[in-house]
Amino acid sequence: MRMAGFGKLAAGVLDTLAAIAMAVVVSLMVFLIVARFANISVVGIFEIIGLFAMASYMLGAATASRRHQHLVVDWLNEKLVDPRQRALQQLVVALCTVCATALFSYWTYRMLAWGMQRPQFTPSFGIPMWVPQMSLVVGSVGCLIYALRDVIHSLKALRRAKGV
Amino acid sequence: MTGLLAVPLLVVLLAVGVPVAFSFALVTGFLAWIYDANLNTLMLQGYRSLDSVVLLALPLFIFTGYLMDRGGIARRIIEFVGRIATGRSGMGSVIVLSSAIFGAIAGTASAAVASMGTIMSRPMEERGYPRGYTAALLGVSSLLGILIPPSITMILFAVVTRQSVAACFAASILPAILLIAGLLVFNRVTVARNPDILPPPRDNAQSFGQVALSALPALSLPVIILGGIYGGFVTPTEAAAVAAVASILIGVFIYRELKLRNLAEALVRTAETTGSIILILLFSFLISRIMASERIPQDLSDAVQGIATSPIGAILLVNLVLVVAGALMDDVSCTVVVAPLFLPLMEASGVSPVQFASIVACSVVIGANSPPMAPILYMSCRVCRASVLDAVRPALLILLFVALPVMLVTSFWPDLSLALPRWLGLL
Amino acid sequence: QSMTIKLATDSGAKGSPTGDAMEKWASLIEEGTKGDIKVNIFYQNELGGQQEIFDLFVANDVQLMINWPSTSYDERIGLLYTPYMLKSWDDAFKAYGQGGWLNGILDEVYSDIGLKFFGAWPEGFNGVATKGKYAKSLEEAASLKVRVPTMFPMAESLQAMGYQTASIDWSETFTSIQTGVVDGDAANVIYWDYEYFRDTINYYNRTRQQFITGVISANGEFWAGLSDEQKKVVADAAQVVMQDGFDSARTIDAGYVEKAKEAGIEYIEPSDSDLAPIARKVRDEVWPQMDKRIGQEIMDKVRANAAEF
Ligand code: NA
Ligand code: NA
Repeated sequence: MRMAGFGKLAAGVLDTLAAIAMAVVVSLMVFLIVARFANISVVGIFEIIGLFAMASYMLGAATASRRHQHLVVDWLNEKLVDPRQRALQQLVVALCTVCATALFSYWTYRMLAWGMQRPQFTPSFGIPMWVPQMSLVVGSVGCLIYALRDVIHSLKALRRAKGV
Repeated sequence: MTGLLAVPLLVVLLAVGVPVAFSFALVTGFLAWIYDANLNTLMLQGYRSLDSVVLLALPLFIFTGYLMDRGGIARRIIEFVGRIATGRSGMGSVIVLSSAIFGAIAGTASAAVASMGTIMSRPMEERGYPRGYTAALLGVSSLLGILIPPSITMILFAVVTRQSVAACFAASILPAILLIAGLLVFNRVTVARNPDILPPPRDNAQSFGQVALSALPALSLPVIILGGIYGGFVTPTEAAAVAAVASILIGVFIYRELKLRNLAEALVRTAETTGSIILILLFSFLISRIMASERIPQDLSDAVQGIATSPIGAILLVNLVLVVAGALMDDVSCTVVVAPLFLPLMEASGVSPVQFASIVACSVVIGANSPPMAPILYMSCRVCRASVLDAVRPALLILLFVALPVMLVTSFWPDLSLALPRWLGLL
Repeated sequence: QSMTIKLATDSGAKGSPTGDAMEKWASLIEEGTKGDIKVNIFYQNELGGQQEIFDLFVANDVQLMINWPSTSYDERIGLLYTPYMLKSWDDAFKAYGQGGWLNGILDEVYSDIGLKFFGAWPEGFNGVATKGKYAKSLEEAASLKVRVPTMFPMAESLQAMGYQTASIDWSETFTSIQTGVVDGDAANVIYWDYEYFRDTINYYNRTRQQFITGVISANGEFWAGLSDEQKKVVADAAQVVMQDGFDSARTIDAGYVEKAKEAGIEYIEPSDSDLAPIARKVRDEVWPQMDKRIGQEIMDKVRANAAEF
């Protein structure tokens, strides 16, 4: 029960942040155009847009994992009718996804760790690069957590199917 | 060449039902492992590829698409189109032609897919078009922007091979027209063979005048987008932001169908759709990079130069390699890394560099849509909410009967690509 | 022991001056080490864009480079883009040539980010390429909106020269000039504007605010792992390439001026006295900003050595 409540809260936070990030991207793009016509110098606005765009991409990727919205080739899915076989397939898919997202998380970690040795800053505002890169942590770890959730769900389904 | 094992691995993962993005991630892992890629910079490269201004058009157009859908704009445009394009194949033609007009200037396939897909996929389904077919048709049409100038891909090719940009632009116009014609004919034939497809909707309770009047604000949207770009007010990416704002204004104040709740929902769904596409792009990009860094294209090129004996054989072989490379790498890698390798062989076979430019552009159209590595087709499936399985067959048919023949004609009929540059005095 | 290394550039296709220079550097290394070091060459965009390749270089995925470094790892690299620091090719040779005053500073900056600096790979003075009209004065510049690279202090320099600047991605620049979103592209040497935009621009105004040069360098980790003989071969070969660059850069640049004229682009070359008031204004406005971001100490050296305007 407490798990479900936490899941709901996390989902709400993800959605809200994703919506805010997207809204900022749209607003800043419009500001960029207005600024050009008003002759306001806005060197480096793309740095800020990029930062929020990256956040919205990665929050969106995690949301897509949560709601199973990642694109799938559902060939086997349509072929399998036996609930046990289906549950087994779901388990294999979830395990592969765990591997993939674990790799994604690890590579992101390596990028950040290396970035600590050789820090970089954006050219105009001097924002440390790890700030926009943190989005990748949210995206990769978010997808990993939801993949683990899917493993648990498919294990449960497998057990239920065995019981039948 | 162990790297080529990536292809069967990918096929198996996809077939089992692992999400496309994560299948690509596992293939990236496989390649990173066998080629001992530097993991300090692997994801950094991916980050750089996503941190692109041009890519911003993707979320912005997806957002616009959602807003048009929720705000009643899409419906009115389609009702209006229905009065003009009355034939049964009308709506399919609309996809091809709008992608051509749009891709002409925006030039990135992802923007064309995002904008057209979100708007057209549901209405097309309502009229009986299978979603998979819509996704496939849109996937191929969206790449017309590479052939229709201006096109950054052609600029890159021209710069790398030291040709005139204008000549390369001019060279791909006639092949583009041929491709458009081919797609229109293919659509007509498909519709003719499919009795479920209905002509565009027609609400006879309303007169043409009423429909037109009601659609007028909606129709201002494409005018704002294209007028903004061609009028020199905004860049294609900026136009996407203007479109989003305009569709909010029209949806809220003119049609009064868009509510604040819809807006928040559209923002979240946009992030979600973009996020799922972005991961596919991210990992397909990393696969491309590892291949380029391991000089796989160079090895492939050496192998081909070895077997090519006659000019015709050489041209065919290069076509084949371009298609295969297109299946494994993104359009820029293909154009910049793969194509120049074969330029000497092609010149020796009587193909001029300018003609080769349009051949390469055709190969990119095919490569981006041919499974297993078909990022644009997958993107189109995601945006149109189509099953990949349903889209693969029509996509392969379109490639086989339209795109591939156009590429071969371009390869073996030099005048098709050279006539226009010559006429313009560019050669 | 034998090894295979990567030599890359961010700007220069096969057959371009930079492409040729890389081939020469590679063959001198391969000959000099009798094949112990095999060099694979990667031309522009083959391993990614400017930032990506520089990342690979800093991380030792690429061992040797001739590139136009970004300022993301160290803002002091922006020193390369100090406006109106050099006035003539002779100034540039003195600053960047062997033992030149700028070379010493760059050597230090480079070693701080783990790179070994060999020398400059000169291209020439930059300018403003525009469509429709061009500016002879500060007042005329005010009516022109130009695209500038994001690197500090590129935009700041153009603004001080009176232009309106716009942030537009390189890949959208062609379309933007063609449709009129901007009037042109600023801060590039004529080579780039000729290669990319010759079908859409009418004027190239050599405003000379920066002397653009690439950098010939090696990754520090790779460098440290070489034997003394190998180091000598690599460094000597780099010197040969750099010397070639200094000998030929001017001719190559002049060649592109001719090509641009043939392509119908009007070439404008302001005199030193035309430039003097603009240069002084730009220095007054931009150099104090550079004091803050690049450091007083370095800028003092610049002030001590910079050309008179
Ligand atoms: Na185009
Ligand atoms: Na493909």
